[in-house]
Amino acid sequence: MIDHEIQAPAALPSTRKGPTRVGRGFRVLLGRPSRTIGIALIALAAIAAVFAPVVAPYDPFALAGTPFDHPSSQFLLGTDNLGRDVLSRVIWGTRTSLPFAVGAAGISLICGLTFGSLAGYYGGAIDHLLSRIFEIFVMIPMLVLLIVVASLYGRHLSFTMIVIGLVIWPANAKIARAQVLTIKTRGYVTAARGAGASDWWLLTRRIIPNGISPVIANSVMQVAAALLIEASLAFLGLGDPNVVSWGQMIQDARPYLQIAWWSAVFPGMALALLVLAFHLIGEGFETEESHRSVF
Amino acid sequence: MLEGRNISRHYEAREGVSLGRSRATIYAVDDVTLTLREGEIFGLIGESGCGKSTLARVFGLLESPTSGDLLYDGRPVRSMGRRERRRLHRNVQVVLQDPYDSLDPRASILDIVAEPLDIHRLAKSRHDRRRQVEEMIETVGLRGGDALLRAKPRGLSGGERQRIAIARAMVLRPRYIVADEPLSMVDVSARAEIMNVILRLRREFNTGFLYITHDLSAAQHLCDEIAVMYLGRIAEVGPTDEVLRSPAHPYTNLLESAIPDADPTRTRPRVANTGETPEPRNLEHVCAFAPRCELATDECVQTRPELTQDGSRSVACFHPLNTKDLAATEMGGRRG
Amino acid sequence: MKLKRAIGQSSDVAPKGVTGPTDNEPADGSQPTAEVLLVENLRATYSTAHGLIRAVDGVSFKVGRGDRIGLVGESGCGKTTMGRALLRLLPPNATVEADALTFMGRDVLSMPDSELRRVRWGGISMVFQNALSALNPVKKIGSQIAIPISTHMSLSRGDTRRRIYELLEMVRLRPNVAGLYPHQLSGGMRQRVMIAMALSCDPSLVIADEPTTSLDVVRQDEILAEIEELQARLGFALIIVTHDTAIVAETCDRTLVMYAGTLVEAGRTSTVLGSPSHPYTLGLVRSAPGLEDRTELYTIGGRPPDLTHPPTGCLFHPRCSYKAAICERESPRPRGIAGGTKVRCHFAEDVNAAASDLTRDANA
Repeated sequence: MIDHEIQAPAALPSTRKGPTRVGRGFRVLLGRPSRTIGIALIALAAIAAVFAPVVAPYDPFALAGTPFDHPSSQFLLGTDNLGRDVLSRVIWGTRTSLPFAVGAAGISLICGLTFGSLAGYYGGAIDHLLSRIFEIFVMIPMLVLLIVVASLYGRHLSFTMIVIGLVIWPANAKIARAQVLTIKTRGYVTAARGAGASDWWLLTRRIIPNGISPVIANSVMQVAAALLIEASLAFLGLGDPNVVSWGQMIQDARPYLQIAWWSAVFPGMALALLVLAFHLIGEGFETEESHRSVF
Repeated sequence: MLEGRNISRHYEAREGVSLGRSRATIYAVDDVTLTLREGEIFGLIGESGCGKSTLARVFGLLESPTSGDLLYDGRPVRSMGRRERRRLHRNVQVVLQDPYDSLDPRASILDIVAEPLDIHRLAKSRHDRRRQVEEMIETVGLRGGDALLRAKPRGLSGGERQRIAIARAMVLRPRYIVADEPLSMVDVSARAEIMNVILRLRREFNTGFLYITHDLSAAQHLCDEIAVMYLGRIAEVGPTDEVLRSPAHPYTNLLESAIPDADPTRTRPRVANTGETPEPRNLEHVCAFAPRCELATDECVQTRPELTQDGSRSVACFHPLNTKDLAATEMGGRRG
Repeated sequence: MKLKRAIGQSSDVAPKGVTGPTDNEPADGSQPTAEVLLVENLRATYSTAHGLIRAVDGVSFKVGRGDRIGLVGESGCGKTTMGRALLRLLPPNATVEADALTFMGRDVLSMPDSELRRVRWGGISMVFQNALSALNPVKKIGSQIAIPISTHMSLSRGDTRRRIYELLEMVRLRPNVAGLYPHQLSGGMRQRVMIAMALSCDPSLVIADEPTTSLDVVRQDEILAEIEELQARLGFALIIVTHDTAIVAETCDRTLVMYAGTLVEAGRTSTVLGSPSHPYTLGLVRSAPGLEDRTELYTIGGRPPDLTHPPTGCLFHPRCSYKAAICERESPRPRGIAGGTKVRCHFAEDVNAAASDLTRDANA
């Protein structure tokens, strides 16, 4: 009865390396050196954020030393204009920046993926309607909205995060929509529909998993963008005064750059490194995935 | 019985790019009546654009006809509720043409073949699910063990992929399978194997097949009965051997005489150039084939020929070719 | 020159910028040789992440003027690679070597780029498989046909246009097709445009890569008839690359059968397809039944070899019903057998005997 034998594993390249999913996952993650660096940096920032109370030598709000102290053994990165330890503030800054950026990008990912997929899948009037909504959101001036929100509800980080998320999601929506438009014509989607699959089944099991990688790549880039936005907002005076923010630190240090460069440079470096880290993994993600999904 | 009565599927087409002036109706499928029975392999022959794929999609429950009815055991599908229609899919499955497109590249073979089981939640346990998949993979003649089940489709050849697609379609033991040109993108040396698989499935499970193809030799080998389609209409229907040995419709004859002869020592005259195939529009009162037909008369461009039955066969033509006349006419092909 | 006669113009339409030997004349100015293409031990190897892949390994054949050759093989056998290798059109990770690869007596492998460019299309042209993807969807047909003409022949605008209409007429298309876009044409018409493009610079050799795969039987027959007629009229040599042995049986005088990068059988079509001497050819012929066959379909079984880990000895032995111990050890060398065919098989005579039995039974 069996007339066709497939000689595995040589004939089946997908099973050639790494027997377990976890094993293969690690290989994917660590495959490219740039991505490894990115992940290392983010891991570092994440650890700093979680263990900040333990790791930071001083309370970030405490006036622990004299203002404008040079970096020394006591204050490794020096002190700022109020005498607060820069190192501790940089560490505590991760608690602000990371969740904010990831949260904003997360909102963008969820909204973009959902509405974009629906628009692409159903087409017709729904697509029309949703596409117009995308365009409306694109038109929203972010800064104006933030000022309005700030003046109405005060300068709270969580509000800012939501506003950013709601402003940047159309990009993800458009990508998701384009992906779904292409994938829904694939044979395996038709075959599943022929087998009786519901729209939900098709979207969640067949279409979105195959189309999600550019959306994720874009969202990772949006994390980097959100980091910069948060810093810029603090720089402009729209930041939340109750938290430690790198942008705020740089803003505070501006008049004193000549005498206390460390209070601006170190938070700036931290910001730059974290943004770089997300760019590194975002880029690497896209290339690897897009190669794989071609076949 | 899966029956299609007077099935039509038409589209509104616009002439002109900018302001969409004159509208014409394109009948991809035009008043087709066809019955599919369990255990029977029914062939649908025609060139590309003749509507056979559209008709396949209607029978495969992927599209609804714009007019006419699809009946399942006598009940019109149109009148079924959502739930009943979903359950209908358990008994009607499809196998598509492109084996490189019909398998999810990110899914394992196990998940691919188990898909219908998952959709209808018919596996009793993970173990049961795996067992059913293994059984069906073996039935379509593949052996690869665990490695095969875990693998993604990437390394597989066209023939192997089609076997997987067939296994997926068969896993619920459906009563009917609609196969849309399943071999046209498979290597020549693998086609015979898959044809044997289809014959075996029919023997073992009594599945009825609607087999769409443009390859007459495959149809002759597989199908009990065939229908020849042209521009959305059925030109003739009947038992395969009879239709192919003595074609009644001039179009069937044309198809038959255009097949290249694999024997290098014989010579066959090439078919005369018959002109382009028009689009299926504005054909209400004519025979669709008339512009290309040598036997066309006035009647052929004034009235549409209906399918008339003659014993076990039916033809839609005012000048059907008789077996008696075959030797006499120029278009007698190579038989006679 | 043929070109002048074809356009019907006076002698001042001679292509400019052509001083030395033209594309279709031999290098030393002697009489045109009968041999258009000579290929000896052609090898094309890809270096990939998975290792070296010998897509073409030791292919040798000759093409004479006006020859009609069929190259038969299935997907992955290397026929497309070989077609491209002849024109040095392979990607940078491929290496092409040969003991000899000459076109009209001139060595292709060592040709300078300027000369190679003239040979491409002017000497050897291709008809591609899928017209829809080979044609530029946003350019009109006329301007696409004009591209090779303006590259290879310096004609005035008026003469180019005349040449385009002439070509369209040759493939039985109306002149107004020049003003249409590819999507406005049917599949058969597009394929005719591909043929017109291939003939535009008066080549000596046309390689048609699966020219009728996307067409139905009737169109296929019409296109093949036209190709035959054009070939008889214009005298170019033709290589049809296909998996359909029936097309080759009807159209070609000689047949080359390719498997896993090597030619396993080559010779006159009547012999190769009528009474094959290689198990693979035999399998191909038997698994393509004609309409009269009612016998059980023959299957070859197995799958083509993974070229990154090829089998030892004969590449076909894992699937071969004539296999013996020697087949695993020794790769068969090409040898001539009775009938003028060259085969790569240790048991060619046995296969041939079995094949004759088959035809005898069928005709009985």
